[in-house]
Amino acid sequence: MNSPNYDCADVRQNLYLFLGGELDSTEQMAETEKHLGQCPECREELTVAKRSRELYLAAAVDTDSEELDLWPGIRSRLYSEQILEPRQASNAPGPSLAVGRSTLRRLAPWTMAAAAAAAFLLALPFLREQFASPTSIDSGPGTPPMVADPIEHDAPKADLVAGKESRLRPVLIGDESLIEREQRLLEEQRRDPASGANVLDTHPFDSSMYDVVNQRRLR
Amino acid sequence: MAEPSGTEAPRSDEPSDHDLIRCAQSGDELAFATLVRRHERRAYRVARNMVPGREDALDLAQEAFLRVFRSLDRFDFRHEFTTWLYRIVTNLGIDHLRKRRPVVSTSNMGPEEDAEIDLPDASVPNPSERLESLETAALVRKCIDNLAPHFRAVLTLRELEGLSCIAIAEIVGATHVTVRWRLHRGRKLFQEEWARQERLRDLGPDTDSETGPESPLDGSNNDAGQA
Repeated sequence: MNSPNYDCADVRQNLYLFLGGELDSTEQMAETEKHLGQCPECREELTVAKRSRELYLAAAVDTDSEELDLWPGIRSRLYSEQILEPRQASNAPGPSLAVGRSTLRRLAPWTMAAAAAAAFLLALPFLREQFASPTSIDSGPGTPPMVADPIEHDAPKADLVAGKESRLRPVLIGDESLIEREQRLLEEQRRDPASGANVLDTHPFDSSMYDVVNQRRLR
Repeated sequence: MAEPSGTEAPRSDEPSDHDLIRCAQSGDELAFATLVRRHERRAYRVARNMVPGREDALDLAQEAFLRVFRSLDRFDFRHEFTTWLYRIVTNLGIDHLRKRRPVVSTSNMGPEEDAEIDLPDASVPNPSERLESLETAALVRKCIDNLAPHFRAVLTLRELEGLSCIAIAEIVGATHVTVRWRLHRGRKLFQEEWARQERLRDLGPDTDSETGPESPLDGSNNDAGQA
């Protein structure tokens, strides 16, 4: 264990690491300790080195007693360099990690892409309502889908039945709307009951109604 | 002596450094502010013990966090945040010392400049109580200031921050063996410089001009001081 070749030169080579507890192995530590126990000259070297280290440590600046608040200066620099964009003044960080107290201009591209995708998904129902063909509007369970008749394409059934204001274009048959035409046919039938079926008994989107309409148009 | 402070680690109910970095990467200013407040003392302590002036140390610590923020997107989550912060601070400190080194030659200082030597604050009991006197403290600081920057960096990280040689190696981008050598050499050079300063003090105030300008203690056989 105790190498006979471990002499004063070895000890002095390792003295400073021995002091700091940085010697590689416990074996080196043990050999150094053993030699120091036997060699007064090396012990004197150790004493001098220890005193020197104590002086170094004693001269360390005590920063713990200093007031320190770097954040306001850092934030100002980030604002002035426009790396950070002020939105809401925040000087005292709290426990929350709420996002959105400020906007960073240097957001990662994927973050921006994800935000755009999320916004698109949120807006999708409105976009569908605004731009989609009325054929895509499902009126509800049990309601037959609108077929490829141009008249039916433009006929939002719910609006017609309930008389609600619709943002969609009114259905036009010739120069008059479907409602106007229905009212006119009703008036004609009231004046001439033998002219055809009672359109009021007909589903507005039943093709038979359009037969009546077409017959009237042909007449 | 400043006790090795270890870490200003978050409590268990607080977000980790990595959590804060993720939030800051998403644009959360508050998260970055929390990160700064958690580690500002650590950054300042290293800076303050590497560069002589308080204002310089404050600027350096602030600059370190600005650099952190500018590079936040590139943070590698396999590493500790503190390792990165220490690296930035020590690199800034080394750059700062290298820039000012030609200007500083303590042996050429006049009385006015000597008055600017960074004396420990007399109102703070710890350092001055342990030292024999303020004069001794000033002399010790002079010895530290004469150490080459890379020695000062590893000594600060080891003696004041209490970091392991392996952690220091990661911070300074050197091998474990190199760090140990720098620690050994830095302590030895400091001791030799202390012995020299004591001799100069004992010889009297006029001896500085006779001994010539002091050479930086960079561990090499620098003869510039004899020129």
